Amino acid sequence: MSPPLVKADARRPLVVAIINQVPDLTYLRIDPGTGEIDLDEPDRVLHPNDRQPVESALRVKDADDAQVLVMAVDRQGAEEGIREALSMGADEGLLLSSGATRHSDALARANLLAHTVRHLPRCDAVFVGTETMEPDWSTVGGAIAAILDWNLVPGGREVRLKDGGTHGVAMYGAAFVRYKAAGPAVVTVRPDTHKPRWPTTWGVRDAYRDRTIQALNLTDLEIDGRMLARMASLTETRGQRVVRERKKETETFTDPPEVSARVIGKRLARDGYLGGF
Amino acid sequence: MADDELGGWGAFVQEQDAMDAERSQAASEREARPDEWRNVWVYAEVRDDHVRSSVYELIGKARELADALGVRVETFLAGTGDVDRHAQALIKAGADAVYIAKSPLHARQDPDAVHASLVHHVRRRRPELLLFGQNTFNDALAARLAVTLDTGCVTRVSGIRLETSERLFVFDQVGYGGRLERSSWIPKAKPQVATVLRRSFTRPLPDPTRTGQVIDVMTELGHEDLRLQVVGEAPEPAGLPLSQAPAVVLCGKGIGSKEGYAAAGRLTEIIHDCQMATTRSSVDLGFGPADRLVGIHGIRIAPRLLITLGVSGDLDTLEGIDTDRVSTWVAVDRDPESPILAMADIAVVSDWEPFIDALVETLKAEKRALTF
Repeated sequence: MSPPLVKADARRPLVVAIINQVPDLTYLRIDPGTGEIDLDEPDRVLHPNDRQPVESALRVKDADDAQVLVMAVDRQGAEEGIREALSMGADEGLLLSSGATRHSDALARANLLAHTVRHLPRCDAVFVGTETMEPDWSTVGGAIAAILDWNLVPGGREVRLKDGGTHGVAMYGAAFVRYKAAGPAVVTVRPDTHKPRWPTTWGVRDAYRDRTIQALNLTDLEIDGRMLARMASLTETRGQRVVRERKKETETFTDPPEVSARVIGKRLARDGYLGGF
Repeated sequence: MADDELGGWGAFVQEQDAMDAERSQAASEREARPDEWRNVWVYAEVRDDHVRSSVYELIGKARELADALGVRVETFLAGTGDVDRHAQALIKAGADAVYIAKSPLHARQDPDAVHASLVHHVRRRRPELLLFGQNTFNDALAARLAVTLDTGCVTRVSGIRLETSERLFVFDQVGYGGRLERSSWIPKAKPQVATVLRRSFTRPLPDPTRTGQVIDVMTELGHEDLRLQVVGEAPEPAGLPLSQAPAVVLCGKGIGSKEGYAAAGRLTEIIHDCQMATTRSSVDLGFGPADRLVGIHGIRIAPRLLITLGVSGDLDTLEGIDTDRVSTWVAVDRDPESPILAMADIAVVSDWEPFIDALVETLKAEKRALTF
């Protein structure tokens, strides 16, 4: 029999906020041997955009008396991120500790996260950010929805639980609509959705002094070799580099304004700044 | 042991076994017919009854890649009503074929309907590369599609190169706040799925002599395919905060008056996602509003396009600009010795007002020309 993954009360709604740890680039290191960025070395921080799914989940807690579980794949500093979310008001933290997936791509980590969600005693909604500093993180929400075969609510806001389903606002293309859906949902949350709450003094004390974060490894999650193979990355990195500050050269226009404006205007249009249509 | 006792574990394993079998079959098919994954596809996203500008940028790049491979550029458009009228513009931009999936369910870009249509037609027509414009909706759509098709997906792509020897694509991605670039590829799965940042590629000029196929494709969608039920419209959230605006017009005290600040605002009506901002001295003189203040005591901006009008470039203001993130900086000042002119990419020595009048007219004309 699979072990209970969290101490959550199965009678109350449970929502999950997934966070991602990203390197603190203030302390970025370059491997002198390869000249590549060492993404293991820098401290990892909770990206401000990842406070958005936590805030969205906490709003469901405020409105629907839900329990909030914060989940992260173990990378350096992930525990700190979970504690920050706990200090904002989340109820429990779950750290998925797997050396095998530590360096895997976002879809492989989505597989692990989806597998864990499936093992929870119940789950009514999963909130995940659309952007952190990691380029592919925005795929995680859509991937989890596909793996679990759950409803996908892109760019969701004001999401609430009702009658075993969810309702709120979703993004359809570039427009926003009010929706309702039966069954659990994966909600992707944009960076500009909410103004996330700050941790409270009591929350910080509670999160850092009194709370333990449950860490689960592959055995706890009953993941065998075959499953792990299925979670293998399909995307491979072929190199990464620091973007060097380019040396700027100024082009000066002293022509009559209408002449300068014509040249510059055409250049702005060519470079796509008129956008839209 | 009963499934209930296993907490659903038995059912889960059975389901995973079924998925395993499906994936093995997909992998076998890929290996058996590797050459059948051909052609470059661009998802032609329609917004407010127009094909989005980024689609044309993608077609330009797709054309280049397809020519190198000797394959076709094909676009997939999901819509309703008279969406056929977009087809010729897509062909003139470089597409060889436009697949049009018409359904009333595509009237809104319903995520379930678009996903179902794409899965069906990608499986059937087997493109080797599938490109989307990058945004929240498309990132989720592309990821969901990739999982369903058992392939990989990369997002925030700013460049694509062809690895000719292996017939694979290498994607340059921007991440970590724009400070890091990485190259990724999907070596063992097809189609390769990517979402591409806007303005990564140049929009091609339309070629009026180009011809191509317009193919109506079946969309066997029913309301039962839709999981989310739309119950009403929702207001657009307030626009991006100034700190995240991709284009900013920054007015200093040289703007001269409150009316001058308002007149400069005409640029924001033409330049996409453009916002107004102002400096401390301009706020002190009452020309610009305090909630648009950029600088040490205000907001820090990081636009791709920055236009400064009558800004001297004092330290207070410069501290509020993340200059590393600015791709194009146009500075306008009547004083040729103004320090800000040396910092910009394009320095215009002129009074701001006649320059902006002429620039607005030029941009309007360019925008008209861009609407194929």
